[in-house]
Amino acid sequence: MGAQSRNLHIAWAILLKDLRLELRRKYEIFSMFTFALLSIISFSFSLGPAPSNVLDVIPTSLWVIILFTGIISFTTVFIREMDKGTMDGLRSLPSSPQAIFLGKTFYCFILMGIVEFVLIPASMILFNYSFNSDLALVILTFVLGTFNIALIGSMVSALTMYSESKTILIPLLTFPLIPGSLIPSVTATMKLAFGANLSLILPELRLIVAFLLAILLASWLIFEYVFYE
Amino acid sequence: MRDKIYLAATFIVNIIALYMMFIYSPPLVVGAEVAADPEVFRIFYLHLPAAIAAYIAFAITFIGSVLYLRKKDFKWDVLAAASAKLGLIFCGAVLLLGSIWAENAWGVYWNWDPRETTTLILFFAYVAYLAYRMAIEDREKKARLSSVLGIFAFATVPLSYLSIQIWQTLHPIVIRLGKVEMSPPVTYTLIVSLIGELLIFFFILYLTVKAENLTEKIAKVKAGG
Amino acid sequence: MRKEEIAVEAKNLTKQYGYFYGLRDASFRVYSGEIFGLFGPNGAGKTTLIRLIATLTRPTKGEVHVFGLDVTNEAEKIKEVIGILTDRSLLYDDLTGRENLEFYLKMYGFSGKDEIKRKIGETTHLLKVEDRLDDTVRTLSSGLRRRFDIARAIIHSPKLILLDEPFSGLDIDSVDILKNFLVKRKGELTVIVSTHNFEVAREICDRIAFLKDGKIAEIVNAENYSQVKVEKYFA
Repeated sequence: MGAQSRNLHIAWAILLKDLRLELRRKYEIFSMFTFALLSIISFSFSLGPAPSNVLDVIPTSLWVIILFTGIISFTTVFIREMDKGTMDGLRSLPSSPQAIFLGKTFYCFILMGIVEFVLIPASMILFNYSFNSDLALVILTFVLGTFNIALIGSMVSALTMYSESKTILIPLLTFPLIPGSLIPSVTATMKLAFGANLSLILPELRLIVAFLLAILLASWLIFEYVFYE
Repeated sequence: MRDKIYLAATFIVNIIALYMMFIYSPPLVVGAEVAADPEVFRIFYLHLPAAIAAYIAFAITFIGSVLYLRKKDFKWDVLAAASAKLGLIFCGAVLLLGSIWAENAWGVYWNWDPRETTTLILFFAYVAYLAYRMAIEDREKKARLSSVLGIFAFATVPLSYLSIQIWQTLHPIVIRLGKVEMSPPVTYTLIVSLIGELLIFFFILYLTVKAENLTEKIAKVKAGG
Repeated sequence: MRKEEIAVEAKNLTKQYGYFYGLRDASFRVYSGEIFGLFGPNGAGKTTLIRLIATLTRPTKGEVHVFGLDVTNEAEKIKEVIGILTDRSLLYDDLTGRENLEFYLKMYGFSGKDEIKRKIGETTHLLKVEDRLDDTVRTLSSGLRRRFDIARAIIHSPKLILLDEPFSGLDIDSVDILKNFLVKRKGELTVIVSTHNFEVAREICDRIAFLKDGKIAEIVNAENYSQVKVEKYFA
């Protein structure tokens, strides 16, 4: 098969393998769910019943929770492979490192997506609000923003699998890398909450996509330096 | 001998800069309330060059990272790391000096202005880069992996500037960092101060790189290279 | 001077970790179909050498070619025709043996369901583990796990397999199964096996390279094994 379809085939195989592993043991998905739901309930407590400024607070809170939930998942992406020793298994395969990176990113993305699928509707119920915009736009914004977090997370996971103090380094490395995407995600979500159409959030979407392309390009070029020892 | 000339030049230029900053230059006032102390604005002469130095340091770290990955010579990694350490210090100085100036001009220490916030993110990027390096023992891995981080940071941090600009349209901040009135004395002082600070920056960078390369050489000989 | 095909050829192969030498100036040849042993104490460079040939790590200096392919530039092509067994298990604990083997086969580019099933069946039969295919790897004993690891190493029908200390910590049955498997395949499969168990090495290897402190001290043919002062190579 052609090189590109082979890469996709490999990314897909990695994704399925990791999802199957996760569903068997549910290592991370359980922590992620617990964290997300506890967070949203804590926010609910602190804001009190029927707060007047819900729409001001909700988009930011959601993304903060999503980011931290994502950070929980970053350990599974590569660090788990390293700890268990299976990293060499991946290195010995005749597949391009980029394909493996992509597969892992999708895995992280889907884990986060599963949590968001519950988190966002839950927040709408708890805080009694809804997005006054096209559902498709809302989904698009969350999908793109989450994918960027997953990309950063995969890279951070790959970088920290070689270092000590992973627990502190994962958030430490993530924080400076993420604002370029996180801020427009929050801004776009805020606009959508108040009712925006596509043209209004176009500047944000452009930035998020620019970020996506910048990371994809950077990762494509340099991931192999992280992958091989 | 060359080192001594450079040191002398740095010293002289900076003495001149100090004179110009505090005596030659008139007090500046930049679009602020009457109650602000105009003398404090002299901090601007230190603040702006420090920012330029911090950004240059970032670029040097990026270039060092790219060159290390291509050439696999540790001297490029030494350069990238030394530049990052200096960058961290200058970046911290920018944030500190900027806050003092902001407080004096507008009564608030922090403005969430795109430039300020991007500099803050840059500061965290330096912290992350240096902390990451410290967490890896193996020399080759340290160089290779922090080069990857350095390149990645360069790809993502500058984008924050645009992001924050857009964010600000939603949360307009009444106070805006205005342009400084660039009358001739101010311009001259700024230029001299800029040259002075860059001389300091490059001199310390040069010394750090030289010292680190010696350390590398010792390690190499010890290992039987 | 044998005229057979050369499976592996190394010239001044050197690997440095920072400034420390893991392997220094290794030059040797491994011929197609032979079982080539690497013997030496811990830290001698056996694992480094295996990892270099397996393209898991790049040489600092020198070169090594596997079936004529350069490890630095043609690593992906080499990976298609080699299999490796490392000191740690490359299996996923929470998947079954079958799921592990299916995953690796897919990663090697195999896609047909029937072909995958057939290859798994054949390989596990060779190593006598087919009855435990649907048990989670976590539940297997270390001997069975090692045999599944070997299955993983050969499932894509490589021409060369690299085994890093395959016999250590193994029960007698598994050692026998493995020894028989390797010896039976002499001629069709090239094997490089590292061990610090000299008895097993002399039993199955056609030639043995003796390593110490990152260097190859001597390469000895089977008929001369008894003349080697093995004590030199214990740390």
